Amino acid sequence: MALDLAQFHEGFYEESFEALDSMESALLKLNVGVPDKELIGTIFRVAHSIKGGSATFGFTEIASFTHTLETLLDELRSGKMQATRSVCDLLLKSVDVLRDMLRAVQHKQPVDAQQVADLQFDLELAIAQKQSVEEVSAPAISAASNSRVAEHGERYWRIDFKPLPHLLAHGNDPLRMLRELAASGRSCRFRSIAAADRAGS
Amino acid sequence: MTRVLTVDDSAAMRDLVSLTLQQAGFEVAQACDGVEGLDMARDGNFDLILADLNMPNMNGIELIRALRAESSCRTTPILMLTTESDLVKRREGKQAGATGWIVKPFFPDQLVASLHRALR
Repeated sequence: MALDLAQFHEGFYEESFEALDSMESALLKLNVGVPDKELIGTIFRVAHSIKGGSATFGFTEIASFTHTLETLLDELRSGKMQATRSVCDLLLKSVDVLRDMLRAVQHKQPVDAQQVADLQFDLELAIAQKQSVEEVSAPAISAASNSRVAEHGERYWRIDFKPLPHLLAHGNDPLRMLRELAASGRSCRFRSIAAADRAGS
Repeated sequence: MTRVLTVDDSAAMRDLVSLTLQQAGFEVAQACDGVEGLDMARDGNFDLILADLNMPNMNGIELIRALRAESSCRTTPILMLTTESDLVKRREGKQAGATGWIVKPFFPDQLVASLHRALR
């Protein structure tokens, strides 16, 4: 069955711009601290809807960005994360970036990939930092056990990364994370656990 | 002709689903959220209902629960059509009375096949 998805694009742009307006209004009402359930529910629904639409209509860059945004919003919605001033700023910036992305695809222009990647990284960092706050409040067992000292005396970290089967389906790119690590200025060595397991068996 | 009700807060998505199903020979009606979906389903005599999960006013899970409480919709197949793939949500949908779960984005043939399976 062949369907020309382009016939639905204008409808998608129109409702996405409207949804972003309502997301922005809700964000401006959001107070720092534990977010209001109704407001965060509205904001989450907009991100979720744009993610679904963009994935369906073939706008993969928008789908990938909104997936990260939705992950952060889900943390806020479930009360696992507080709405700090910087998180609220990131969310407002996300609205602007999404508008830019939509305008770009609407006018068949390239998306500003660097702007998107920078903000997506900041969103991912905000999610990760929330996790590290939890780790600080809990006994620091995992931090101590993962920090090691090499034979030549330099302290190093071993990071075990086991992607779930649906990782790629959600628009994540593990190579991007590895590139970020490699670009951190520290020397990095990567080893496939699967290969190591095979070697050890 | 088999009558289907599609419930989604995105008009673009409703149009895409409608056209896909109409091309496959279904008759399709649209509702923009759970509240409208419930109203239309009560006396619409639909053979199958497709519902999104995250919608304003009444979400997909609430809609299924309300539909299952209606004598006219107790046995109507209800498929969730959503971006959500979380297992906990799926279980919640199943417990509420969903017949099946289709994850967006979908392939038109796959959607049609899922409907035929649910209608058997």
